[in-house]
Amino acid sequence: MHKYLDAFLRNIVRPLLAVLVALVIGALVILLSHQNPWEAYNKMLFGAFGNFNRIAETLERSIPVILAALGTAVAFTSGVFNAGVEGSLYLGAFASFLVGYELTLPAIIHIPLALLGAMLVGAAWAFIPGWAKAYYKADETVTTILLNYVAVLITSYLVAIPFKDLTAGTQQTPAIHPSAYLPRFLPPSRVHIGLFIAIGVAIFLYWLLRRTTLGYNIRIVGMNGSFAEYVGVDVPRTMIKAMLMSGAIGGLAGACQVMGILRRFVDGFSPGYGFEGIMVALLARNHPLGIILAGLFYGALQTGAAYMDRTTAVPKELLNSMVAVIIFFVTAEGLFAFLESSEALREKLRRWHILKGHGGKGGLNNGFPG
Amino acid sequence: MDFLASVFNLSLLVAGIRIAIPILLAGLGGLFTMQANILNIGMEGMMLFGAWAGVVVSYLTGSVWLALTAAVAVGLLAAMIFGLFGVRYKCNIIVAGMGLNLFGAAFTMYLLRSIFHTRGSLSDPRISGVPTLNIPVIEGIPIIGPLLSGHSILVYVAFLLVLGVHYFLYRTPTGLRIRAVGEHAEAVKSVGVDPGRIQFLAVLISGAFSGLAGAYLSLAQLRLFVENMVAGRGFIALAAIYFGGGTPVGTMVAALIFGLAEALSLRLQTLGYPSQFMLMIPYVVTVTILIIVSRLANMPRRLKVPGAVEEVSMK
Repeated sequence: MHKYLDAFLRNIVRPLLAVLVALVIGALVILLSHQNPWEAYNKMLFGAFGNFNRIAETLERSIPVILAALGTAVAFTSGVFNAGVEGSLYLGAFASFLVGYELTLPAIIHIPLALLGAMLVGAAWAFIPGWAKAYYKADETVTTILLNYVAVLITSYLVAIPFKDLTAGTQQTPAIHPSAYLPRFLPPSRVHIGLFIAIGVAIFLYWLLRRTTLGYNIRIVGMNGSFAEYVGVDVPRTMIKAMLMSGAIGGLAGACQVMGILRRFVDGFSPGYGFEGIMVALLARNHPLGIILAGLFYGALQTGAAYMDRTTAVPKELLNSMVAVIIFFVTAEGLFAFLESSEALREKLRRWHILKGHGGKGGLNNGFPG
Repeated sequence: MDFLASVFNLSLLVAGIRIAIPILLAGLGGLFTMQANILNIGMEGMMLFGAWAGVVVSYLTGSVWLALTAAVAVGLLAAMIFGLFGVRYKCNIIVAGMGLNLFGAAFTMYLLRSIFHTRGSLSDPRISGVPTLNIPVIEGIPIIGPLLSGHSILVYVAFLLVLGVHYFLYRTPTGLRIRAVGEHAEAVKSVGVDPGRIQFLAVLISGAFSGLAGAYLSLAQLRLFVENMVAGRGFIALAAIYFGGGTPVGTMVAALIFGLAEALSLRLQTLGYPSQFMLMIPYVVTVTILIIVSRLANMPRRLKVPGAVEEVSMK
């Protein structure tokens, strides 16, 4: 009966409340450092959406975050905590560079081929922890985080020795062929068609998870592994399939940065898109379409904070601290539990004597935490 | 032979020990959380806060002992955030850890920029480092002297703590309770002990150790604070725990192996060899061992956080 209200409370009100709490804490911190929070937040808002260039920068920043979050979310949905999208992203980015640099083809073939290469390599990388988790129950959080370091080191070696651009001062490769560039469509900004790829992947995932057998299997494996096994789902294979998709999408995120923005591979190019993806997936509760919104929100926060950093005395690092606060408050199951369902909310309101009824002890949901 | 002699020598061992200490300290703390069935991803953030507090207090007061105390206290504070959200308010424990790491990286930078108006690092002659200890008699002995003497005091503290942690975990009632929570939380509950409190205690202990580990980085190794100076050592410490089979002595051995591998890679780098492959060794070895160990199915029950994954998955 209260299905939509409950979903609204859980998916909209809770994240908004978390953001609000973070904004208030952030404002207090700004005040304590003798700055004006109102001005800082205004600059942040302007920095994210103030004019065409600002909006374009927000979009540009969101592309890898949305893709990384989608990659993370598929694995999360199957119950595998894949913290290794960053690794797939690096290796996928390098694969797209290799295809873009070593081959000369017409753009219509070159671009898909480079993207495909990135997806294959990203998927292959995610296969290792996925397989270890599915068949041996090796803790995937630890393996994926450790493998991230390995992936970054592999690409770091490749950039430093075999593929180094000797004319450049920094550790980077030569440029890929223009036929492998992802077209940009909002000149003079760098927003490229990766934006549509990201939206396309989100819609595809939404469809896959809701409308196909594989998607259904992924979801029930994530919700309850033993139940899934009981009803005859091949749990390990489903987990591995989800991890392969996760890695492939991670690879795509890396390819978008190489082919759309950098046009070469640069050592350590990611400021942690993989981890940002985890945060965004959590904010959106793994909902593929929600991730588009949450990713845009995250991109806006980052560009807005960078602008605030340049125009006020408030450093942008404040923002990432606030993101951490948001994450804490969104995911704390026991803290805002009364925002989970309308019944729990009403019970809470009764206990606060805002709603009439038998509040206090002995209420309907007396044992409910929070 | 010249090559081997120039790479494998006494100073490599000494460097290996020094690099291993922060991993060992954090690993010893992480043992408590691991034994209490909590996957402590947040050590990275706790270490960073510890490193930051150590440098700031040393800079302000000039007293390294106050600085170390502050590092431990701030490590505890960071652990409290982790425990509050991860244990008390039932955030997914992995998410709480990652949140804390993000918070540590961002907030220390923020404080650095808004208080000291510097970017990247804080170094000053006023920052006093942890003194070194020359052991009389032993320091004169060749080979053993340089190996055992002349280290930072924290190095000796770390090795003493290996014994201390072993004693605490296996010989005291609280240690027993921590291990019991990891083995079977329901059983602990049935005898009237709140598993949540025990887990919170384990988190706090890991915070104190991580704070000290961070202070080692900033006050014993470098005498300055650099953004993100922990650089994954919290995760390596986690790896060392797994690698060492979840025991204090095993963790020590693992930390020393990791320290040697890094010392070796640094040495090879200065000689012009690609260091990346050496740096990979600890991670690759750990992942391999983790898979093998999981296959043998000795550890997964204790290391798996019940309900952790389910909470994240789509509702």
